[in-house]
Amino acid sequence: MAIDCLVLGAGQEVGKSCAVVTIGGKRIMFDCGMHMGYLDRRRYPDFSRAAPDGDFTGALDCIVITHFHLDHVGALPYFTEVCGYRGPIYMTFPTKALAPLMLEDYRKVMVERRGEEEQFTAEHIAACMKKVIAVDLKQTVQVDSELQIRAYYAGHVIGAAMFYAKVGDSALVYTGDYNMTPDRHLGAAQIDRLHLDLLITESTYATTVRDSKYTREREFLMAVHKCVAGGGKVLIPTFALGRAQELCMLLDDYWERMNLNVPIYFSAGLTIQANMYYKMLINWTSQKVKETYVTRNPFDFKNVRNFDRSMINSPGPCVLFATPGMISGGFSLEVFKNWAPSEINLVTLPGYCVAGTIGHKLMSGKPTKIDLDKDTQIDVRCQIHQLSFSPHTDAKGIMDLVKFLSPKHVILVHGEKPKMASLKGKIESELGIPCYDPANNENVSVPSTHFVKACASDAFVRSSLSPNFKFSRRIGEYGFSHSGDTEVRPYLQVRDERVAEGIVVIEGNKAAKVIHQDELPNFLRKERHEVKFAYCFPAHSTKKNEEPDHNFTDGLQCSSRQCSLLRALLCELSKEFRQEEIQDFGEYIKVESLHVAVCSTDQCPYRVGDHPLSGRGSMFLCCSWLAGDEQLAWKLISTIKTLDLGLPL
Amino acid sequence: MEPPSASSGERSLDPLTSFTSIPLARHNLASLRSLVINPSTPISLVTSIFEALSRHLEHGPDSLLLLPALNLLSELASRRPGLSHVVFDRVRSRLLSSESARVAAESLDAIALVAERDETLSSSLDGQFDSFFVSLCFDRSVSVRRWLLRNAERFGVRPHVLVTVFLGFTKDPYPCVREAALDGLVNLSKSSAFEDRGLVEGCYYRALELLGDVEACVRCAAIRTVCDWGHILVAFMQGTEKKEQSDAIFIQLCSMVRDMSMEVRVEAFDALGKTQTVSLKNLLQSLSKKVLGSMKENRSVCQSTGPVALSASSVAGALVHGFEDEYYEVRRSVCHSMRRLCMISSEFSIGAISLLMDMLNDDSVIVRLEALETMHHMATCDHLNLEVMHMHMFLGALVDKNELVRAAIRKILKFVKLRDRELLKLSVNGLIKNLETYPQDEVDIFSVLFHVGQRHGNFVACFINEVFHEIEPSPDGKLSFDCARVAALLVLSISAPTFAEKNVGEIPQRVFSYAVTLLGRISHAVGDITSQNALFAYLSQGSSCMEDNISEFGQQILANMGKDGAASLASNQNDLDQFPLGEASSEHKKMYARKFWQPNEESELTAKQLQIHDDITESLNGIFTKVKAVWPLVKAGFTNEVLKILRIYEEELKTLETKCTDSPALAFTLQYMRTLKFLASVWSYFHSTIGQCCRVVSQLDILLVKLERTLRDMKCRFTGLSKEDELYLLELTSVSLTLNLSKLMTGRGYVVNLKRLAAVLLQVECLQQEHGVEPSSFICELKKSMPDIHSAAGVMFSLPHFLRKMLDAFSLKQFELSRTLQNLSAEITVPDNDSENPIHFIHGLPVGIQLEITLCNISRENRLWLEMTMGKESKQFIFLDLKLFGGSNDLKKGTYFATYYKTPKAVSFTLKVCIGVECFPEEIYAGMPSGGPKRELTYLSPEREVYFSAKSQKLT
Repeated sequence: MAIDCLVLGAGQEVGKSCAVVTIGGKRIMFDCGMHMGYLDRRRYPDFSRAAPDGDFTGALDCIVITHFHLDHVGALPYFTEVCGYRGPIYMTFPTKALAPLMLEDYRKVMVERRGEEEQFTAEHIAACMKKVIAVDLKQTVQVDSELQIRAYYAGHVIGAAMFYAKVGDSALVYTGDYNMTPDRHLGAAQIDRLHLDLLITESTYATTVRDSKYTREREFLMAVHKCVAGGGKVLIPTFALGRAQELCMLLDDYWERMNLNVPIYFSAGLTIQANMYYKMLINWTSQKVKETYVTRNPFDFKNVRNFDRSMINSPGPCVLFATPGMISGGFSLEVFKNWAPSEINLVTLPGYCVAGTIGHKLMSGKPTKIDLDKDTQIDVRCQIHQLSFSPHTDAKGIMDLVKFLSPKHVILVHGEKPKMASLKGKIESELGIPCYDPANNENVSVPSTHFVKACASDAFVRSSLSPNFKFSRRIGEYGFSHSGDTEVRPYLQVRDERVAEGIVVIEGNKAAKVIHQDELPNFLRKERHEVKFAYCFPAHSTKKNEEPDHNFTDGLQCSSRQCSLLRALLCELSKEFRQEEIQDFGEYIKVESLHVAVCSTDQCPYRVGDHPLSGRGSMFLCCSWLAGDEQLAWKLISTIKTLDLGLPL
Repeated sequence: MEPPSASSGERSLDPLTSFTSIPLARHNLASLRSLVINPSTPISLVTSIFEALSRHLEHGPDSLLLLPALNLLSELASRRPGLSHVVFDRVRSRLLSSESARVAAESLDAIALVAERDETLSSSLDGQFDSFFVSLCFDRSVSVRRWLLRNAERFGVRPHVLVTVFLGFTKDPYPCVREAALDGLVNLSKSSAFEDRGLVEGCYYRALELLGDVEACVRCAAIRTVCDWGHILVAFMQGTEKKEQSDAIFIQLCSMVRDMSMEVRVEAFDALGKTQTVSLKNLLQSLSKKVLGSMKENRSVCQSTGPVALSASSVAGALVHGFEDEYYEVRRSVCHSMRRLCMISSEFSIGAISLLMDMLNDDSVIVRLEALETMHHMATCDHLNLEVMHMHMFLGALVDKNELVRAAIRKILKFVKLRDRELLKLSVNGLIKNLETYPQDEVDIFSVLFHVGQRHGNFVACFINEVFHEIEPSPDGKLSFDCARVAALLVLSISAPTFAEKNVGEIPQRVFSYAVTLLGRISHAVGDITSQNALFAYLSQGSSCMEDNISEFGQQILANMGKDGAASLASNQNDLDQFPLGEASSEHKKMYARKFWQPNEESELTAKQLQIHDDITESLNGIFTKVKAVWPLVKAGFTNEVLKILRIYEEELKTLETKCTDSPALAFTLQYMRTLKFLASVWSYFHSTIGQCCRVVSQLDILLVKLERTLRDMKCRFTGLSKEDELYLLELTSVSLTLNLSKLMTGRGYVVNLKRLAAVLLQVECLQQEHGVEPSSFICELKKSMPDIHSAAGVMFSLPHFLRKMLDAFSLKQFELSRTLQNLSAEITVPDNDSENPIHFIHGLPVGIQLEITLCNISRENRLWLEMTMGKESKQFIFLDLKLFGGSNDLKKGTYFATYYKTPKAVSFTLKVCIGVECFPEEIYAGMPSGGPKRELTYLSPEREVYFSAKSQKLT
């Protein structure tokens, strides 16, 4: 069995996320985004590869959308309404609520402002959204009898989710975009420890390691506070969803704590509508917001008021949130024109601005004049503060997640090629997990897990019920290998035998069964066989005070002689082999399965060689051991041979 | 069920027979229990209950009843300590033959309970049940196993058995058992010591393996175990191995901070907070998410690290992650563990401080407070290095909405060392902003400013010079002391010179005068360092003799302020130190005299300023302080100067009196001044040689009598003195008596004085025993030498020397006038009577006089007498019954008709009437005419003259 992952978009690039995964015979499309950088057919994923015959409904079992950003959901109406996919679509409740807003906004910009050809209509969006099945976090959805999916919290934006999909024993997680560091208004990604064959993760910041988010917050707050304290106006151009709420919450908290009363304004429009959604979606926000919600809705910003166009030139300090984020037009541009010429004012810029926007011009160097068009020129004297809040996880976050989930394979998507390659190397070397970074339209195939069900025998179940642990001193299996110089010291280890004792038997066509090891001979209808080795050799002893021979015939004397020999042997051996447990059973000495006894028969079949003092007084040691302890046995025997067991000791 | 009483033997026998004969049943367990817990149940009955229960334990048919029976037995043992041994034995015998694990566990529990309650049995547990416990653990029942592991310590199982069992069960498939086993190991590590290194390693490595457990609760327990056993393991090691192992533990714990479970993260940070040692590079790495260079080159950070793959990346930014955590519990835990980590290294502290600063921006108050508390810890171990870049965040907390946060940050500011002027300026401005925004914080802010000023004298002096123009009056002469900023700056500026002498000149003197206007507010704020009086004296000194610089006097006081406040200031030892009198040269004397003149001039000035304050006691306290400082001068023999000073004070007080009349405190102080004047005069006699002393005995006698009278007045005319003040009064009295004794007196007077002295000392003792008031060194001395004084009676010359030596131990103290102080007073008016309108009388017959009497603060205990004196000799006393007067204790008023009997044979005469109160019992009766008061009188009212003229004249 294998899992196939066909990357239709976001392979070694950022944009138009789309991956079709075949798992256990089921085909799932994760995300259906568009690329904002292209206006031609490259804008959409190449859907034809998913179903060459054009029957998408038959080719795919379901579509899963992780969040409402256009590069994850942008192609959906096109795919369902134009390409004709009719199957189920899954997304979280907030995504279902906010995606149409984004799509409609995008369609308007495309069609009404730029006058492009319409890709999909408002009706298409509405029709598409009707097909969507909303899911909740950690809710296991049975798509059909075999395929089940489950959403986990991903941070990033409100409603963003990672999706777990499972068919039979194979399982995978598709992360979408996620954030491992909590925001003010969103929590950190949260997922269970799952047994995964595959993890498909974003890698936007594959090489960046960000320092504390508080530094960014502090700098932002300081800049804003300084500006309003000096009587200036602050313009914060933002996207309507996400950053606007984050920054606003940050400011509102700060205002509250510092008892500031400079007004904060929201420009009317999408932002206010978005705030309304946030108020309803409290369950999807951060822990802090949820806790605060007990007393008040934290999105009912205490210090925030609505802005009126007439207030642009009213005197006194203020803070204004305005859309769009990159000052590409609209209200934020209008305000910018008015406020930019004064050096006491401040304009903050989002972390990323598309080339050609005013935001981009401001970011690249510090221009003093900006030409808006042929006739208009703006004098820019205001201060510029660049924000670097990002809702994506950094390289360390990706590593942390991969480490936590420890999947068998990792596929990187949604990132830039060279950076992905670097991260790929890191995952492979540091975590030892095979990792892939396919380009668009490439297919990656990884093996999947298949479990065999087995029943357990009664004896095995019984033996498993009671604990049965054993201690042993052994050399550690880990950690020492790379340090040859350190002394290898054994330490106490414990193991529970009951788990290890079972034996799997598969008999003909019957189902597999786990039995207790004692049952095995019975089960096989065979006697228990043991391979035993034996070796009889003369003991070396220099008699310091030779006793008269007549003693030798005495049986009693003889046994005491044997005993003392064994005692001497025991004593010597325990000095030599401190790590082994040497037991004394009177008649013989036992080390693991090795028995050492004084040979009592003259015609021992295992005897090798004659005693140096052959004849009277010669003593032979007879050893026997099981195959498993062969090495140990020879080691001991060779040691015994060198010993001088002079009598009496 | 009625508890059977011991008397009704019949009824108590009933249940007895029933319990012994009928097998135990569910329904009668409750009644058995009520019998057991009733203390009046006869012991015989209890014994039979015990028999019945134990029989049931052995042969009871109903296994369901075993558990209640066990419970009842353990309860019985606890109620009847006499039976605990029997119960113990019985349950133990049963225990070893039980077939159900649950019953066995319960009986073990019962045994443990019995043993816990009976000390004699507790030792009998030791090691007795080891094998039983172990075999029970191996039973199939998971719940029993878990319970046993959780309670293992109660059964007296020997540690080496326990550790094996615990270690074994960390392999259990049930998470709850694994958790219990790990927790057992943690507890064991605390209670027992382990010698076998191999064993310790075994436990440690096993716990390491469990750090990767699937269950969060097991991971939590594993973290605790790794932390505790890791430290035990470290203790076995030496040198580099020890270092490496410490690092290994640190790294292991750091690798857990990215766990998905909040509980695990909290546990991990808690454990990090217990770090004992760790290498600096690891510490620093935990502050940076990026892998540092030092960590890169040395990949094999630690060798014996165990199963979890370790690298610098697991340490990288561990603490940063904690600070960024979504849950405040985690952030709080990080802030807390930073305290320990910051103690390890100062270099680390420098890096950590900016992270901690960011936590002041946290939305959770708990976290902000925790972070501040950590900074406070850092400040106390001098690891808090503030930079200008931190100050925005740091001082931002000063205007935090939460007052606890503001208080916490001010607490830090008190301790922190600011390294340059810029920091000081920022801090002070921050504090002023705090004061402006939250005026309710004033007390604390002033105190902080004072502390800051003391710690950073140099910077403050420069700073104050910069901003001095703000304090100065505006061109139109307005002082803006009510403005928060100016007030704060004043506080700061007066604090500065206390630090180093060289600053003194740099602070403009006027500041001190200005600061006096804020005396009340400032002294309230800095009450922990100095008393108001000391501060007042300091301000007065500061503003006047700055050129002299306030070297000895000021410095002395201020050094005390810095050290341990007013307490040490008050001790007379210090006072003596200020004036090295012994061989004072004339130059010295002059200087001291001048010093004491200056404050007087100053105090007149300040007295005017003080009129702003309506609280009179404040100024009185100021005077007390100054007066106290006068004493060494008295001792040194500057009697005239001292009398001058005292007179000035007296005048000062009188000016006050015009402002507020009827202040008991003021009256008291005036009286005290008078006393002191007498005391100073008397003392001067003893200062010179004995010969001189002899010459002026008669004068001295008068003075002594006056002194005694003023003292008596103080004692009798004022009520509501605090116990300390009472004691001080007694001390003064005994001083006066001692002085009296030392003027070479023999005979009856001497004996009377001795008796009175003894009586005073007795009172002191009462005060000491009943109220725990500590007497002064003088009184102690006196007490010790009382027998000597007795025996020395009559030995003419040695005595005075001996007494004088004792008197040296005496010094003035300060009255802490309480609010309850009241002035006993009375007033008599005679309506329609003056020299023009005399009362008519007939010679030889009694004459009635109508008196309007007003009594203030007189209570029942006071015995009042109306004294009528004609001429010099003839006195008549009338006892005033208080019942005759209406009104409350505070104010009684009434008309009283007094009768004067001894009308003289004269055309006219005047009678002086006044009201006196009998003194307290220790004042020995000094020979009054019979019919009058038994003790000396203290006069409460001014004398009033009543005029009489003979009736006969008119008739004729």
